[in-house]
Amino acid sequence: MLNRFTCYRKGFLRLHISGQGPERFLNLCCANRMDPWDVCERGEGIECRMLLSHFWKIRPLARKAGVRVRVLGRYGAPFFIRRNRKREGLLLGTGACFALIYALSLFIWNISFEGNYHYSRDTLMEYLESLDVRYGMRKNDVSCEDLEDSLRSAFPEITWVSASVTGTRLVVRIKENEALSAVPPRDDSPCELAAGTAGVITRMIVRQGKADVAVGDTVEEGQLLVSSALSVIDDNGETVRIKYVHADADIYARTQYAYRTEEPLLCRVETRTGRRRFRAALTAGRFRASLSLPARGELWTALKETAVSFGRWAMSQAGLDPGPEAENTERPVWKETTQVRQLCLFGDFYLPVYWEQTVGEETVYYERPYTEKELKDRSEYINEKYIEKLLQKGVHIIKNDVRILNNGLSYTIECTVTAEEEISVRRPVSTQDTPDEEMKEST
Amino acid sequence: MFENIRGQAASALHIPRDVALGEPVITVTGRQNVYIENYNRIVSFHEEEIRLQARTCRIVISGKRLRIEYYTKDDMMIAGQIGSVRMET
Repeated sequence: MLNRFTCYRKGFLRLHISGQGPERFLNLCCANRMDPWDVCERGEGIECRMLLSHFWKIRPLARKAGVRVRVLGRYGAPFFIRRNRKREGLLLGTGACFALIYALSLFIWNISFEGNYHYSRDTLMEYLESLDVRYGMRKNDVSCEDLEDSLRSAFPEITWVSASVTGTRLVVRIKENEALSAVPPRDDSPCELAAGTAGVITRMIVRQGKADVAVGDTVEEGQLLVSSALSVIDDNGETVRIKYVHADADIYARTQYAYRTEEPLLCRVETRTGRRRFRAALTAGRFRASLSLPARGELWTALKETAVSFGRWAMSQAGLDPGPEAENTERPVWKETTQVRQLCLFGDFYLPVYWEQTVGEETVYYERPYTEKELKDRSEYINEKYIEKLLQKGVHIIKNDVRILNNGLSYTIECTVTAEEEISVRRPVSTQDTPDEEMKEST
Repeated sequence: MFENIRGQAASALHIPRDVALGEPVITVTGRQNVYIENYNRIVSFHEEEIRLQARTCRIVISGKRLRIEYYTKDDMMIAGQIGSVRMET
Protein backbone atom coordinates (compact mmCIF):
# COMPACT_ATOMS: atom_id res chain seq x y z
CA MET A 1 0.00 0.00 0.00
CA LEU A 2 1.35 3.41 -0.95
CA ASN A 3 1.59 6.15 1.62
CA ARG A 4 -0.88 9.01 1.62
CA PHE A 5 1.51 11.57 0.19
CA THR A 6 2.35 9.37 -2.82
CA CYS A 7 -1.33 8.66 -3.40
CA TYR A 8 -2.09 12.36 -3.32
CA ARG A 9 0.82 13.17 -5.61
CA LYS A 10 -0.13 10.54 -8.18
CA GLY A 11 -3.87 11.06 -7.85
CA PHE A 12 -6.46 8.42 -7.04
CA LEU A 13 -10.10 7.60 -7.69
CA ARG A 14 -12.99 6.22 -5.68
CA LEU A 15 -14.67 3.52 -7.75
CA HIS A 16 -17.91 1.59 -7.54
CA ILE A 17 -17.77 -1.88 -9.05
CA SER A 18 -20.96 -3.74 -9.80
CA GLY A 19 -21.80 -6.71 -11.95
CA GLN A 20 -21.37 -10.46 -12.03
CA GLY A 21 -18.10 -10.97 -10.19
CA PRO A 22 -16.54 -8.05 -8.36
CA GLU A 23 -14.37 -10.56 -6.46
CA ARG A 24 -12.94 -11.83 -9.73
CA PHE A 25 -12.19 -8.25 -10.71
CA LEU A 26 -10.32 -7.74 -7.44
CA ASN A 27 -8.31 -10.93 -8.03
CA LEU A 28 -7.45 -9.87 -11.57
CA CYS A 29 -6.34 -6.42 -10.38
CA CYS A 30 -4.13 -8.05 -7.80
CA ALA A 31 -2.63 -10.47 -10.33
CA ASN A 32 -1.77 -7.51 -12.59
CA ARG A 33 -0.13 -5.60 -9.73
CA MET A 34 -2.84 -2.99 -9.55
CA ASP A 35 -3.84 -3.13 -5.92
CA PRO A 36 -6.99 -1.31 -4.97
CA TRP A 37 -7.36 -0.40 -1.32
CA ASP A 38 -10.10 0.49 1.12
CA VAL A 39 -12.43 -2.14 -0.34
CA CYS A 40 -15.91 -2.28 1.20
CA GLU A 41 -19.38 -3.44 0.21
CA ARG A 42 -21.68 -0.67 -0.91
CA GLY A 43 -25.17 -1.25 -2.33
CA GLU A 44 -25.19 -3.82 -5.10
CA GLY A 45 -21.45 -3.90 -5.60
CA ILE A 46 -18.24 -2.90 -3.90
CA GLU A 47 -16.41 0.35 -3.47
CA CYS A 48 -12.63 0.79 -3.57
CA ARG A 49 -9.88 3.28 -4.23
CA MET A 50 -7.32 3.00 -7.00
CA LEU A 51 -4.42 5.01 -8.38
CA LEU A 52 -5.13 7.10 -11.48
CA SER A 53 -2.32 5.41 -13.41
CA HIS A 54 -3.87 1.98 -12.68
CA PHE A 55 -7.34 3.12 -13.63
CA TRP A 56 -6.35 3.54 -17.28
CA LYS A 57 -5.40 -0.16 -17.44
CA ILE A 58 -8.47 -1.78 -15.88
CA ARG A 59 -10.82 -1.72 -18.87
CA PRO A 60 -9.87 -5.22 -20.19
CA LEU A 61 -9.98 -6.62 -16.66
CA ALA A 62 -13.46 -5.17 -16.07
CA ARG A 63 -14.65 -6.68 -19.35
CA LYS A 64 -13.17 -10.06 -18.45
CA ALA A 65 -14.79 -10.06 -15.00
CA GLY A 66 -18.07 -8.75 -16.37
CA VAL A 67 -18.28 -5.76 -14.07
CA ARG A 68 -19.17 -2.14 -14.54
CA VAL A 69 -16.84 0.45 -13.06
CA ARG A 70 -18.21 3.83 -12.09
CA VAL A 71 -16.08 6.73 -10.84
CA LEU A 72 -17.44 8.24 -7.61
CA GLY A 73 -14.71 10.70 -6.81
CA ARG A 74 -11.39 12.08 -7.98
CA TYR A 75 -8.67 13.08 -5.52
CA GLY A 76 -5.05 14.18 -5.58
CA ALA A 77 -2.71 16.66 -7.18
CA PRO A 78 -3.46 15.94 -10.89
CA PHE A 79 -7.15 16.66 -10.36
CA PHE A 80 -6.45 19.65 -8.14
CA ILE A 81 -4.21 21.22 -10.81
CA ARG A 82 -6.76 20.52 -13.52
CA ARG A 83 -9.59 22.03 -11.46
CA ASN A 84 -7.58 25.16 -10.66
CA ARG A 85 -5.77 25.64 -13.93
CA LYS A 86 -7.62 28.87 -14.65
CA ARG A 87 -6.86 30.48 -11.29
CA GLU A 88 -3.76 32.48 -12.15
CA GLY A 89 -3.39 33.95 -8.68
CA LEU A 90 -3.23 30.54 -7.06
CA LEU A 91 -0.73 29.30 -9.60
CA LEU A 92 1.38 32.42 -9.19
CA GLY A 93 1.25 32.14 -5.41
CA THR A 94 2.28 28.49 -5.50
CA GLY A 95 5.07 29.29 -7.95
CA ALA A 96 6.24 32.22 -5.81
CA CYS A 97 6.21 30.01 -2.73
CA PHE A 98 8.40 27.40 -4.38
CA ALA A 99 10.66 30.11 -5.80
CA LEU A 100 11.04 31.62 -2.33
CA ILE A 101 11.85 28.25 -0.80
CA TYR A 102 14.38 27.66 -3.54
CA ALA A 103 15.92 31.12 -3.02
CA LEU A 104 16.14 30.50 0.74
CA SER A 105 17.74 27.13 0.14
CA LEU A 106 20.74 28.92 -1.41
CA PHE A 107 21.81 30.34 1.97
CA ILE A 108 23.13 29.01 5.26
CA TRP A 109 20.54 29.29 8.04
CA ASN A 110 21.97 27.00 10.66
CA ILE A 111 25.50 26.38 11.90
CA SER A 112 26.08 23.46 14.22
CA PHE A 113 29.19 22.09 15.92
CA GLU A 114 29.69 18.51 16.96
CA GLY A 115 32.38 17.06 19.20
CA ASN A 116 33.59 20.32 20.78
CA TYR A 117 34.26 19.97 24.51
CA HIS A 118 37.16 22.30 25.15
CA TYR A 119 36.12 25.13 22.85
CA SER A 120 32.66 26.50 23.44
CA ARG A 121 30.15 27.14 20.69
CA ASP A 122 30.44 30.91 21.25
CA THR A 123 34.21 30.84 20.78
CA LEU A 124 33.91 28.90 17.55
CA MET A 125 31.08 31.10 16.30
CA GLU A 126 33.14 34.22 17.00
CA TYR A 127 36.00 32.75 15.05
CA LEU A 128 33.71 31.85 12.12
CA GLU A 129 32.36 35.41 12.13
CA SER A 130 35.92 36.70 11.85
CA LEU A 131 36.23 34.49 8.74
CA ASP A 132 32.98 35.97 7.37
CA VAL A 133 31.16 32.68 7.82
CA ARG A 134 27.81 33.57 9.33
CA TYR A 135 24.08 32.94 9.13
CA GLY A 136 22.52 34.12 5.92
CA MET A 137 25.61 33.80 3.75
CA ARG A 138 25.44 32.09 0.38
CA LYS A 139 26.16 28.37 0.41
CA ASN A 140 28.47 28.73 -2.59
CA ASP A 141 30.66 31.20 -0.67
CA VAL A 142 31.46 28.64 2.01
CA SER A 143 34.73 26.92 1.29
CA CYS A 144 34.72 23.91 3.55
CA GLU A 145 38.38 23.06 2.93
CA ASP A 146 39.57 26.58 3.80
CA LEU A 147 37.36 26.57 6.86
CA GLU A 148 38.84 23.26 8.02
CA ASP A 149 42.41 24.54 7.51
CA SER A 150 41.73 27.81 9.34
CA LEU A 151 40.11 26.04 12.29
CA ARG A 152 43.00 23.60 12.58
CA SER A 153 45.61 26.35 12.52
CA ALA A 154 43.71 28.74 14.82
CA PHE A 155 42.92 26.15 17.49
CA PRO A 156 45.91 23.93 18.24
CA GLU A 157 43.86 21.56 20.40
CA ILE A 158 41.69 20.64 17.42
CA THR A 159 43.24 17.64 15.72
CA TRP A 160 40.58 16.87 13.12
CA VAL A 161 37.88 19.02 11.50
CA SER A 162 35.27 18.20 8.95
CA ALA A 163 33.00 20.93 7.60
CA SER A 164 30.10 20.10 5.35
CA VAL A 165 27.05 21.85 4.02
CA THR A 166 23.88 19.75 4.12
CA GLY A 167 20.66 21.45 3.13
CA THR A 168 20.83 24.95 4.58
CA ARG A 169 23.00 23.78 7.44
CA LEU A 170 26.74 24.06 7.96
CA VAL A 171 27.90 21.18 10.13
CA VAL A 172 31.37 21.41 11.66
CA ARG A 173 32.55 18.15 13.22
CA ILE A 174 35.53 18.49 15.51
CA LYS A 175 37.85 16.10 17.30
CA GLU A 176 39.87 17.65 20.07
CA ASN A 177 43.18 16.46 21.39
CA GLU A 178 42.54 14.52 24.56
CA ALA A 179 46.21 14.01 25.41
CA LEU A 180 48.67 16.77 26.26
CA SER A 181 49.74 18.68 23.17
CA ALA A 182 53.31 19.10 24.45
CA VAL A 183 55.30 17.31 27.13
CA PRO A 184 56.34 19.91 29.72
CA PRO A 185 60.15 20.16 30.02
CA ARG A 186 61.57 18.49 33.09
CA ASP A 187 62.60 20.91 35.85
CA ASP A 188 66.00 20.01 37.26
CA SER A 189 66.77 23.29 39.01
CA PRO A 190 67.78 22.95 42.70
CA CYS A 191 64.82 23.17 45.01
CA GLU A 192 63.71 21.96 48.42
CA LEU A 193 60.37 20.72 49.67
CA ALA A 194 58.44 22.53 52.39
CA ALA A 195 55.10 21.79 54.06
CA GLY A 196 52.18 23.39 52.24
CA THR A 197 49.88 22.83 55.23
CA ALA A 198 50.35 21.88 58.86
CA GLY A 199 49.81 18.24 59.82
CA VAL A 200 51.21 14.97 61.16
CA ILE A 201 53.28 13.00 58.68
CA THR A 202 51.84 9.55 58.03
CA ARG A 203 54.08 8.23 55.25
CA MET A 204 56.92 9.49 53.07
CA ILE A 205 59.02 8.34 50.13
CA VAL A 206 62.12 10.45 49.39
CA ARG A 207 63.56 9.97 45.92
CA GLN A 208 66.05 12.81 45.87
CA GLY A 209 67.29 15.14 48.65
CA LYS A 210 67.73 14.73 52.40
CA ALA A 211 64.69 14.22 54.62
CA ASP A 212 64.49 16.67 57.54
CA VAL A 213 61.41 15.08 59.10
CA ALA A 214 60.25 11.56 59.88
CA VAL A 215 56.93 9.70 59.96
CA GLY A 216 54.96 10.76 63.04
CA ASP A 217 56.44 14.29 63.18
CA THR A 218 54.15 17.27 63.46
CA VAL A 219 55.00 19.89 60.89
CA GLU A 220 53.96 23.50 60.54
CA GLU A 221 53.12 25.29 57.34
CA GLY A 222 56.31 26.35 55.54
CA GLN A 223 58.54 23.96 57.53
CA LEU A 224 61.36 22.34 55.57
CA LEU A 225 60.59 18.71 54.78
CA VAL A 226 63.26 17.65 52.34
CA SER A 227 66.48 19.58 51.99
CA SER A 228 68.16 19.95 48.61
CA ALA A 229 71.65 20.32 50.10
CA LEU A 230 73.65 17.07 49.99
CA SER A 231 77.09 17.01 51.66
CA VAL A 232 79.88 15.33 49.70
CA ILE A 233 82.19 13.69 52.26
CA ASP A 234 85.78 12.63 51.62
CA ASP A 235 87.63 9.64 53.06
CA ASN A 236 88.36 11.54 56.31
CA GLY A 237 84.68 12.13 56.90
CA GLU A 238 84.98 15.86 56.14
CA THR A 239 82.55 17.72 53.99
CA VAL A 240 84.28 18.48 50.74
CA ARG A 241 81.46 20.40 49.15
CA ILE A 242 77.68 20.79 49.21
CA LYS A 243 75.69 19.77 46.21
CA TYR A 244 72.22 21.21 45.66
CA VAL A 245 69.76 18.87 44.01
CA HIS A 246 66.19 18.99 42.81
CA ALA A 247 64.40 17.51 45.83
CA ASP A 248 61.77 14.96 44.97
CA ALA A 249 59.54 13.15 47.45
CA ASP A 250 55.97 12.08 48.26
CA ILE A 251 55.11 13.21 51.76
CA TYR A 252 51.65 12.48 53.10
CA ALA A 253 50.32 13.99 56.30
CA ARG A 254 47.09 13.92 58.28
CA THR A 255 45.65 17.42 58.15
CA GLN A 256 42.68 19.19 59.71
CA TYR A 257 40.29 21.53 57.97
CA ALA A 258 37.61 23.59 59.63
CA TYR A 259 34.93 25.57 57.93
CA ARG A 260 32.17 27.61 59.47
CA THR A 261 29.37 29.59 57.93
CA GLU A 262 26.55 31.70 59.30
CA GLU A 263 23.00 31.08 58.15
CA PRO A 264 20.04 33.32 59.04
CA LEU A 265 17.28 31.95 61.26
CA LEU A 266 14.72 32.52 58.52
CA CYS A 267 14.88 31.00 55.11
CA ARG A 268 13.63 32.71 51.94
CA VAL A 269 11.00 30.60 50.22
CA GLU A 270 9.98 31.05 46.63
CA THR A 271 6.46 30.11 45.64
CA ARG A 272 4.34 30.38 42.52
CA THR A 273 0.95 32.07 42.78
CA GLY A 274 -0.44 30.16 39.82
CA ARG A 275 -0.89 33.26 37.66
CA ARG A 276 0.70 32.85 34.28
CA ARG A 277 1.18 35.08 31.29
CA PHE A 278 2.20 34.15 27.79
CA ARG A 279 4.12 35.86 25.07
CA ALA A 280 4.77 34.63 21.57
CA ALA A 281 7.05 36.16 18.96
CA LEU A 282 7.78 35.39 15.36
CA THR A 283 11.11 36.52 13.93
CA ALA A 284 11.74 36.36 10.23
CA GLY A 285 15.08 37.87 9.28
CA ARG A 286 15.05 41.46 10.57
CA PHE A 287 11.31 41.54 11.13
CA ARG A 288 9.84 40.64 14.48
CA ALA A 289 6.25 40.47 15.61
CA SER A 290 5.29 39.64 19.15
CA LEU A 291 2.04 39.16 20.98
CA SER A 292 1.79 39.37 24.76
CA LEU A 293 -1.19 38.09 26.64
CA PRO A 294 -1.54 39.66 30.10
CA ALA A 295 -2.21 37.52 33.12
CA ARG A 296 -5.58 37.40 34.81
CA GLY A 297 -6.29 40.81 36.40
CA GLU A 298 -3.17 42.40 35.00
CA LEU A 299 -5.03 44.09 32.16
CA TRP A 300 -7.33 45.87 34.60
CA THR A 301 -4.34 47.08 36.70
CA ALA A 302 -2.55 48.35 33.60
CA LEU A 303 -5.66 50.25 32.44
CA LYS A 304 -6.14 51.75 35.91
CA GLU A 305 -2.53 52.93 36.06
CA THR A 306 -2.79 54.47 32.59
CA ALA A 307 -6.01 56.29 33.56
CA VAL A 308 -4.46 57.65 36.78
CA SER A 309 -1.32 58.90 35.03
CA PHE A 310 -3.43 60.46 32.28
CA GLY A 311 -5.62 62.23 34.90
CA ARG A 312 -2.55 63.60 36.67
CA TRP A 313 -1.14 64.83 33.38
CA ALA A 314 -4.47 66.50 32.44
CA MET A 315 -4.67 68.23 35.87
CA SER A 316 -1.14 69.54 35.56
CA GLN A 317 -1.91 70.84 32.06
CA ALA A 318 -4.99 72.65 33.37
CA GLY A 319 -2.89 74.32 36.08
CA LEU A 320 -4.36 72.26 38.95
CA ASP A 321 -2.36 70.52 41.61
CA PRO A 322 -2.61 66.74 41.04
CA GLY A 323 -1.52 66.09 44.63
CA PRO A 324 1.17 63.73 45.87
CA GLU A 325 1.93 60.67 43.82
CA ALA A 326 0.63 57.41 45.17
CA GLU A 327 3.21 55.18 46.78
CA ASN A 328 4.71 52.65 44.48
CA THR A 329 3.35 49.28 45.45
CA GLU A 330 5.66 46.32 45.17
CA ARG A 331 5.39 44.78 41.73
CA PRO A 332 5.21 41.00 41.43
CA VAL A 333 8.20 39.09 40.15
CA TRP A 334 7.66 37.09 36.98
CA LYS A 335 9.91 34.15 36.24
CA GLU A 336 9.98 33.61 32.52
CA THR A 337 10.98 30.62 30.45
CA THR A 338 11.53 31.13 26.74
CA GLN A 339 11.64 28.42 24.16
CA VAL A 340 13.00 29.29 20.72
CA ARG A 341 12.45 27.07 17.72
CA GLN A 342 13.79 27.46 14.23
CA LEU A 343 11.57 26.57 11.34
CA CYS A 344 12.79 23.36 9.76
CA LEU A 345 10.96 22.22 6.65
CA PHE A 346 12.53 18.77 6.53
CA GLY A 347 15.81 17.18 7.55
CA ASP A 348 18.50 19.81 7.31
CA PHE A 349 16.45 22.45 5.54
CA TYR A 350 16.32 25.27 8.07
CA LEU A 351 14.73 28.62 7.32
CA PRO A 352 15.50 31.99 9.01
CA VAL A 353 12.19 31.98 10.84
CA TYR A 354 12.18 31.65 14.61
CA TRP A 355 9.24 31.05 16.88
CA GLU A 356 9.58 32.15 20.49
CA GLN A 357 7.25 31.06 23.24
CA THR A 358 7.58 32.66 26.65
CA VAL A 359 5.71 31.54 29.72
CA GLY A 360 5.91 33.82 32.75
CA GLU A 361 4.92 32.59 36.20
CA GLU A 362 4.23 35.01 39.02
CA THR A 363 6.53 34.32 41.92
CA VAL A 364 6.38 35.62 45.47
CA TYR A 365 8.97 35.32 48.21
CA TYR A 366 8.45 35.07 51.93
CA GLU A 367 10.54 34.20 54.95
CA ARG A 368 9.90 31.52 57.55
CA PRO A 369 11.96 29.61 60.11
CA TYR A 370 13.88 26.54 58.94
CA THR A 371 12.40 23.15 59.77
CA GLU A 372 14.75 20.61 61.33
CA LYS A 373 14.96 18.61 58.14
CA GLU A 374 15.63 21.71 56.03
CA LEU A 375 18.39 22.80 58.39
CA LYS A 376 19.93 19.34 58.24
CA ASP A 377 19.69 19.29 54.45
CA ARG A 378 21.21 22.77 54.24
CA SER A 379 24.14 21.85 56.49
CA GLU A 380 24.70 18.65 54.49
CA TYR A 381 24.63 20.63 51.28
CA ILE A 382 27.23 23.12 52.62
CA ASN A 383 29.37 20.25 53.87
CA GLU A 384 29.14 18.41 50.56
CA LYS A 385 30.20 21.51 48.65
CA TYR A 386 33.18 21.95 50.98
CA ILE A 387 34.17 18.29 50.67
CA GLU A 388 33.87 18.53 46.91
CA LYS A 389 36.34 21.43 46.90
CA LEU A 390 38.77 19.43 49.03
CA LEU A 391 38.45 16.35 46.84
CA GLN A 392 39.29 18.43 43.80
CA LYS A 393 42.61 19.20 45.49
CA GLY A 394 43.30 15.46 45.70
CA VAL A 395 42.64 15.12 49.41
CA HIS A 396 41.64 11.78 50.90
CA ILE A 397 38.91 12.29 53.53
CA ILE A 398 39.30 10.25 56.73
CA LYS A 399 36.76 11.85 59.05
CA ASN A 400 34.02 14.39 58.54
CA ASP A 401 31.93 16.14 61.24
CA VAL A 402 29.16 18.70 60.87
CA ARG A 403 27.71 20.68 63.78
CA ILE A 404 24.81 23.12 63.80
CA LEU A 405 24.87 25.77 66.56
CA ASN A 406 22.04 28.18 67.30
CA ASN A 407 23.16 31.40 68.96
CA GLY A 408 19.73 33.03 68.91
CA LEU A 409 20.53 35.38 66.05
CA SER A 410 21.68 32.92 63.46
CA TYR A 411 22.72 29.33 62.86
CA THR A 412 26.40 28.51 62.72
CA ILE A 413 27.27 25.47 60.62
CA GLU A 414 30.69 24.07 61.47
CA CYS A 415 32.38 21.45 59.30
CA THR A 416 35.49 19.71 60.59
CA VAL A 417 37.33 17.44 58.22
CA THR A 418 40.29 15.18 58.92
CA ALA A 419 42.12 14.27 55.77
CA GLU A 420 45.27 12.74 54.41
CA GLU A 421 47.05 14.52 51.60
CA GLU A 422 50.33 15.22 49.90
CA ILE A 423 51.66 18.34 51.64
CA SER A 424 55.00 19.04 50.03
CA VAL A 425 55.47 22.18 47.95
CA ARG A 426 58.56 23.07 45.97
CA ARG A 427 60.68 26.02 47.10
CA PRO A 428 63.55 27.19 44.90
CA VAL A 429 67.03 27.30 46.37
CA SER A 430 69.15 30.19 45.17
CA THR A 431 72.56 28.81 46.20
CA GLN A 432 75.10 27.23 43.84
CA ASP A 433 77.31 24.23 44.43
CA THR A 434 80.24 25.19 46.71
CA PRO A 435 83.66 24.60 45.05
CA ASP A 436 86.03 22.12 46.72
CA GLU A 437 88.75 24.74 47.55
CA GLU A 438 86.38 27.04 49.42
CA MET A 439 85.12 24.14 51.48
CA LYS A 440 88.61 23.10 52.43
CA GLU A 441 89.52 26.67 53.46
CA SER A 442 86.42 27.06 55.57
CA THR A 443 87.10 23.76 57.35
CA MET B 1 1.21 -38.49 1.40
CA PHE B 2 3.51 -36.14 -0.49
CA GLU B 3 2.40 -33.21 1.69
CA ASN B 4 3.12 -35.27 4.76
CA ILE B 5 6.68 -35.98 3.61
CA ARG B 6 7.22 -32.29 2.83
CA GLY B 7 5.86 -31.38 6.27
CA GLN B 8 8.19 -33.82 8.00
CA ALA B 9 11.14 -32.60 5.95
CA ALA B 10 10.32 -28.98 6.82
CA SER B 11 10.15 -29.72 10.54
CA ALA B 12 13.35 -31.78 10.38
CA LEU B 13 15.18 -28.92 8.66
CA HIS B 14 13.59 -26.32 10.99
CA ILE B 15 12.03 -24.48 8.05
CA PRO B 16 8.78 -22.69 8.93
CA ARG B 17 5.72 -24.40 7.48
CA ASP B 18 4.45 -21.21 5.85
CA VAL B 19 7.68 -21.00 3.85
CA ALA B 20 8.00 -24.71 3.05
CA LEU B 21 4.36 -25.61 2.50
CA GLY B 22 2.84 -22.20 1.71
CA GLU B 23 0.44 -22.46 4.61
CA PRO B 24 -1.44 -19.28 5.50
CA VAL B 25 -0.38 -17.13 8.43
CA ILE B 26 -3.21 -15.34 10.19
CA THR B 27 -2.56 -12.58 12.70
CA VAL B 28 -5.54 -11.28 14.64
CA THR B 29 -5.07 -7.95 16.44
CA GLY B 30 -7.82 -7.38 18.97
CA ARG B 31 -11.28 -7.42 17.42
CA GLN B 32 -10.46 -4.86 14.77
CA ASN B 33 -7.83 -6.29 12.43
CA VAL B 34 -6.91 -9.56 10.76
CA TYR B 35 -3.72 -9.81 8.77
CA ILE B 36 -3.46 -12.76 6.41
CA GLU B 37 -0.39 -13.90 4.54
CA ASN B 38 -0.07 -16.62 1.88
CA TYR B 39 -3.60 -16.52 0.51
CA ASN B 40 -4.40 -17.29 -3.11
CA ARG B 41 -7.54 -15.37 -4.05
CA ILE B 42 -10.72 -13.77 -2.84
CA VAL B 43 -13.63 -16.17 -3.14
CA SER B 44 -16.39 -13.87 -1.94
CA PHE B 45 -16.56 -10.47 -0.37
CA HIS B 46 -19.44 -9.21 1.78
CA GLU B 47 -19.79 -6.86 4.68
CA GLU B 48 -20.50 -9.76 7.06
CA GLU B 49 -18.26 -12.42 5.60
CA ILE B 50 -15.08 -12.60 3.57
CA ARG B 51 -13.96 -15.94 2.09
CA LEU B 52 -10.40 -16.42 0.96
CA GLN B 53 -8.78 -19.39 -0.72
CA ALA B 54 -5.40 -20.41 0.63
CA ARG B 55 -3.17 -23.21 -0.61
CA THR B 56 -4.29 -25.77 1.92
CA CYS B 57 -7.64 -24.49 3.14
CA ARG B 58 -10.35 -21.90 2.81
CA ILE B 59 -10.40 -19.05 5.34
CA VAL B 60 -13.72 -17.54 6.38
CA ILE B 61 -13.73 -14.30 8.31
CA SER B 62 -17.08 -13.32 9.77
CA GLY B 63 -18.03 -10.12 11.48
CA LYS B 64 -19.65 -6.74 10.92
CA ARG B 65 -18.71 -3.87 8.62
CA LEU B 66 -15.77 -5.83 7.25
CA ARG B 67 -13.59 -4.15 4.66
CA ILE B 68 -10.22 -4.78 3.05
CA GLU B 69 -7.86 -2.01 4.08
CA TYR B 70 -5.26 -3.07 1.57
CA TYR B 71 -4.20 -6.23 -0.21
CA THR B 72 -1.44 -7.46 -2.44
CA LYS B 73 -0.69 -10.78 -4.09
CA ASP B 74 0.66 -12.19 -0.81
CA ASP B 75 -0.99 -10.42 2.08
CA MET B 76 -4.20 -8.74 3.06
CA MET B 77 -5.36 -6.55 5.93
CA ILE B 78 -9.00 -6.86 6.91
CA ALA B 79 -10.53 -4.31 9.26
CA GLY B 80 -13.92 -4.16 10.94
CA GLN B 81 -15.60 -5.82 13.85
CA ILE B 82 -14.22 -9.33 13.72
CA GLY B 83 -16.56 -12.08 14.92
CA SER B 84 -14.72 -15.26 13.98
CA VAL B 85 -11.97 -16.65 11.82
CA ARG B 86 -12.79 -20.14 10.51
CA MET B 87 -10.92 -22.63 8.36
CA GLU B 88 -12.75 -24.86 5.89
CA THR B 89 -11.25 -27.67 3.90
